[in-house]
Amino acid sequence: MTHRIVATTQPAPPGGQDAYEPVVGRDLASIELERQIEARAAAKTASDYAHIVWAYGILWTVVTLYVLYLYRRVVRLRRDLASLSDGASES
Amino acid sequence: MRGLRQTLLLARNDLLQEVRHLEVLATALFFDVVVLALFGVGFGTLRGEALRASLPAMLWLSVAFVGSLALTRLFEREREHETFVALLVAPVERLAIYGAKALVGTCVVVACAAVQLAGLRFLFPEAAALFDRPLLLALLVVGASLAYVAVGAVFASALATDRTRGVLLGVVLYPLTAPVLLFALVATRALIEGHAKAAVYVGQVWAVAVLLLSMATFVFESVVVPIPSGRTQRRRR
Amino acid sequence: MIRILWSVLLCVAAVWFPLAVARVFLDTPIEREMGTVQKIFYFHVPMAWCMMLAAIVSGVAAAVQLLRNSRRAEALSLAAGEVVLVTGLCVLLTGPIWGHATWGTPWTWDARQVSTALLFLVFCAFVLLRTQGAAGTERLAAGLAAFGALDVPVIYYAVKVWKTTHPTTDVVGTLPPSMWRTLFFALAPIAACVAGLVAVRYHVERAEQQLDDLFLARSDPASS
Repeated sequence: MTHRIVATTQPAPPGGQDAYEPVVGRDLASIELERQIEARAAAKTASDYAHIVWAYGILWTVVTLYVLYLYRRVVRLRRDLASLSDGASES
Repeated sequence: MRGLRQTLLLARNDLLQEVRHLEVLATALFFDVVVLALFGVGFGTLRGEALRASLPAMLWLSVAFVGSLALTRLFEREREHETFVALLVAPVERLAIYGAKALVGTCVVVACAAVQLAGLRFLFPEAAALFDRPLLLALLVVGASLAYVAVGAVFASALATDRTRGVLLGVVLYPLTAPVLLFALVATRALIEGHAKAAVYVGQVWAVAVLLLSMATFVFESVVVPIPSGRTQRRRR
Repeated sequence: MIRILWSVLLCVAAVWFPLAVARVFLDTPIEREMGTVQKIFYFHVPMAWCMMLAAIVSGVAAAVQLLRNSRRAEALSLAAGEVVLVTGLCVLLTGPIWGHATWGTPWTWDARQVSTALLFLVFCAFVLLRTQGAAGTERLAAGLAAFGALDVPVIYYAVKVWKTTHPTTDVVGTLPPSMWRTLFFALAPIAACVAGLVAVRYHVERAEQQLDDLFLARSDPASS
């Protein structure tokens, strides 16, 4: 649905030139209010998404770091095992 | 029954030693007085609601520090003379050793808390509200001190074995005893505010105390007594 | 056996997790009061549940280790204890982010926040003792984990007992069915991932224990 936005507070110019039709039931104040509400909703959604991205990013980072830590432990374990079997074969 | 008699006997011996030499009590009370002086200087200008909100924190903060001081010295005599192992192999129930130490520790902490309370009453008129229900206050102080010492004595006994000296305070004791102090804090706030449910909050402190005491008696022997077949060394990783 | 178990669990988590994310964002209505940010709930709450479960597993395993001198229980206790740190860190970081968006402040010192932080601290101490402590501190650390597990009921009841800004424990029951079904749908991959990580860590710890014994036996044959 489209509306022609007009300033209803100003009177129509005399003489009939540049005539326009005022839109009934839509005044500037209510349109501004609507825009404000939309802007607030958009800001809230943007802020919500920022929070969600942070929260999910942290979840993934923490779990990934722990997996890396486990991987390092496994690598060290394999190295120790190799050194033990080297020592056993030497003796 | 035999265990109880042994506990009381050991506790009586420790208390007598304590009364004679004032090793733990003197240090703890001195610390108490210093803390009170600091509170007086630091919070002397507080009044009304702000002061009422701060009083429980003052009380339990000082109990936390005094308690840790007392707990580190609880097994000091045994550690200095290396008699803890002798105590463990003596013909007494091992739980009686724990019970006696917990009893002595509780007595010391309760004495310090009493001094702290009297000091707070003297310094801040708002603290008078705490004494409106003296029985509840006494139950709260004894229950919270018992819960605090119940946990602390298990880990303090590990100090006596000389292998983990120094780790007790910062790492082990405070996170474990903080829930007790939180429950005590809430109950103290309820007492100051004259809350109708203050008795329920004190009951919760006692419930936590019983829970911790049960757990402590359950694990004490296993934590303190090394199992012969257990490993004594570990490869440095 | 353990290898198969953790492989299956981690595969299930890897397949299920994207489905859970899709369901949370595409098929679940937006909560009226909190808005889109409430979507954090579907991962924050399961993480908190897994943290408490891991703490109980660690505490019970520690008690078994103390009573029976079981090295399997010791490995399980350590594995679950480390996972408490991982999940605890996730809970303690995502919670304040959610709180910042809904309450306007990340930390309100409410009972549940404090007791969760305490549980995290207890298991920090446990892992520190296990990794930095001298030989012989295993039993002390096990005692610490057993006491730490006692903190779990404190966390559960803290919200009911004390005045708090945190949602009560009954909040899941009051959710519309579309939301709580999504919550349990998201719980499954997280629980599988957490169980898989515990199993991997247990496997590694058992291997390290056996390797330690081999090293000790080699350096001092009389002790074996």
